[in-house]
Amino acid sequence: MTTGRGPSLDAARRSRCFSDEAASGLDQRRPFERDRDRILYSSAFHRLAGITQIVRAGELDIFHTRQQHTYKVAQIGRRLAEHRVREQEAEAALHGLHPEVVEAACLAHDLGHPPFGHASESELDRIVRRPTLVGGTDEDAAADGYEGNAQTFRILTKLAVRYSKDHPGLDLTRATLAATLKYPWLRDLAHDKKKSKWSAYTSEEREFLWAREHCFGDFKSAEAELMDWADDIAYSVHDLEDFHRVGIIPWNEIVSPDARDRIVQGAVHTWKKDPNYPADGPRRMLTALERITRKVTLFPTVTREVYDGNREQRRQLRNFTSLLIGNYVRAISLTEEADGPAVIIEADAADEVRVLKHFARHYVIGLPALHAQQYGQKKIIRDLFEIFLKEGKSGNLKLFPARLRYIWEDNKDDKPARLAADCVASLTENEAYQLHGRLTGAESGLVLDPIVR
Amino acid sequence: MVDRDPQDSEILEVIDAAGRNGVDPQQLIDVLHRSYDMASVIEALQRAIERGKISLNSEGMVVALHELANAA
Repeated sequence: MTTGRGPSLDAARRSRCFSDEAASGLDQRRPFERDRDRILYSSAFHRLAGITQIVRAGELDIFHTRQQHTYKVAQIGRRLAEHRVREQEAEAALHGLHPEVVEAACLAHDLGHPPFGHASESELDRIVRRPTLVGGTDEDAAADGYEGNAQTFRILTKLAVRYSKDHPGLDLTRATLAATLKYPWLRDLAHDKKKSKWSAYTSEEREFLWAREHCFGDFKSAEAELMDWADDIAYSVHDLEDFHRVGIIPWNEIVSPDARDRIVQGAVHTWKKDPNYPADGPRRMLTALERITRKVTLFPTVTREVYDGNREQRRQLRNFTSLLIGNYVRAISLTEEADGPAVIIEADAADEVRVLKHFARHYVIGLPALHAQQYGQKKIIRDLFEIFLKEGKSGNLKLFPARLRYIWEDNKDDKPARLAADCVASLTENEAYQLHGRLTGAESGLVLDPIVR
Repeated sequence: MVDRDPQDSEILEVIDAAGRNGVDPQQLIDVLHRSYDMASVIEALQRAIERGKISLNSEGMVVALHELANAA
């Protein structure tokens, strides 16, 4: 086992772009604690309460908002890290694993998601690369498009307002920045792994390289691995819980042997898009589905009753999800080498999470009303982008909500399409609806209401 | 049918008899249901989970978390 990366690693991990330890003044907190608190107090974090994953924020008041999801990711991430530090002290030291860093990265992980979820993320990617589709020019384009994770890194290093203009972003430590990089590379359209998911734009390449100086190859840091796994656990279990409570998940079908082939085929179809898809994928999905079916057997109100929120249903649902999360938290270990993957996730657990995610995709994303909703939401995204791009380039910043003007004033070296996307991505879903209504003349709103504060 | 919930010791006996890898949840329910009504079986299993007497392993099998003697 490789041992001891020593004090130099610790010092590198604690360093910041703009300030040193002396800048903490009388602050009693340690460096990573300050990182975590800066993210929690940022405007970008506040915004997460106004956006959701699949179903619009506030709809039926039952679905997790991104902020509620983020709190749970942070809780799971921290517990994952604490458990590893207790169980594998030497390996945790080798990888420089710190629970505070994992929690900070978890709190930050969704900051870059635009309003209306993944549908608008792909729409933004399309028009940032080809602004001519919405009245822009080829010169406006940012070739590396839009991606929620890369936008997160841009917010942390450039857009978040905490200090003066010459110290943009939150000035986080190197370890925390590295821990937010779930896909630690820039976009590369010629590379299967790097064309659809990436964690930094070329506009933040310098910051990206600085953050990754202590990391090896294309491997995530241990803290980024734990953040990623915590996100997977929370997403798969809590989405399932949300959609179960509104009656969309047909458990009687899922636990029935008749439906297994179809579910397995669906999960395999999605997994095949992954360049690392294994040859025994169908068998693994089948056995994962069988394990999940076994696990839910002890909780018959989940599978046999229409959910109405009665006490016993809530109790059994909580017991079920708690056991699932516990299983997945215990399914990882740290490796003993620093020059490769930092974390191993048991294949069975990863497979179950894939199947659970498939339930949400299969039963929810196919709803006709959701498609109609997303059609309209994409139009709002395009319209807002077009207006921000046109008026931003013209310097007509008076049209912009005051909160967004600094994006154009402080980042003049960036491509106009990037800045227009920044503006769109800074909005909550309600702000997007209302601002769209005002700027297109559909609904003026109140003159004393700036909509975006 | 017995007019009470199965005791932890009875649940743990079934698990113990199944061996190291635990018992399939449906099998556990079926065995207990021979002597108790279904509602009582499910209630007893929820309580055993909540008190940390039993859990599910990664395979989805029910396992005991305490020695039978301690739980009795």
